[in-house]
Amino acid sequence: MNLLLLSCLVAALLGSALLRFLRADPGPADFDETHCPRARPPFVAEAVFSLRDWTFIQQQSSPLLNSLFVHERRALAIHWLRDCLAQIRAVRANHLHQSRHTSDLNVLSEAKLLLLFFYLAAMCRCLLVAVRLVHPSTPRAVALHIQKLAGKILPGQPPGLSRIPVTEISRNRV
Amino acid sequence: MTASSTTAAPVDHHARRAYDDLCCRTLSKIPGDLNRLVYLASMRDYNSGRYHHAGLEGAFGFAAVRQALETAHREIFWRLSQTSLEQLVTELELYVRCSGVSPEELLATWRALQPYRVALPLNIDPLAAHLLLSNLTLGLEVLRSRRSQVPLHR
Repeated sequence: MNLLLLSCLVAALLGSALLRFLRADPGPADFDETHCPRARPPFVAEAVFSLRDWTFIQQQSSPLLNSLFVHERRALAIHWLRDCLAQIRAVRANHLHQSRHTSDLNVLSEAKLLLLFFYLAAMCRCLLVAVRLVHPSTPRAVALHIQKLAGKILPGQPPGLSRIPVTEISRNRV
Repeated sequence: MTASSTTAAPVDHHARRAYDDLCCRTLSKIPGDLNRLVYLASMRDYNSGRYHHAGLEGAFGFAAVRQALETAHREIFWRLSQTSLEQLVTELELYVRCSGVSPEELLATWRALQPYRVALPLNIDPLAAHLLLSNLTLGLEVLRSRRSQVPLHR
């Protein structure tokens, strides 16, 4: 009986959230693909939550260096997570604007997308708390999971952004 | 590195030739990406943000050279921002060796003034820039920590 009530409550909440999502204020009228943020290059999350860098710092046997590393990586992780949240919000607003002009909306796929937006935002918020409490490298797996999921809804960004084709510069070493 | 697949704008042949010339004659002779980054930043006017290279401009024109220098600067920035902390420390060591200044003096100046902040290209991903600057800060501390552990009689 309790399970049935809980299921009804969850269904009602999801339904109202979906309705709110579909009827919400579309935001600026000129909000289009050009305003849509792009996914961060994948190496950023890898580097921010890198275990390899942490191992390297530990090998230096300096407590001051260890604490500086934690401080720097924590700031980077918070920057990355806030950036992710802002991107998710922007993509959601953009999708909302576009969906309001679409007559044949698929409710099931819209609900799935809504859940993905909520899930990603909730994960980012949880991780924002976690990186303040634990070592920044600890939630690495969760961060990479967020990045992977966020990559599905954000348009990709080429890392080079070159305006001309580039040839490899030979890496001479002294 | 193959960034040709990510090219957004039409290819400017003069810029391409200027870029190839820059890579073959100049950048390939500079040891290490950090040295190259600082060199390319020094080609940029502090006030206008425009790149200048007198020798190349005579051969390829202002616009092509500006585009070539900007592209090379961005490419090297992206490469450096993707390197691990350990590799970046190696880059810093190489930079210190090539600078002609005593390591202590250079480390003290870089820690105090943080001149590497102005060595970044314009309009880059802020998070990638934060990552590289943070890694450079850590790298300098690693070098300082290593030097403080070296016995004085050496």
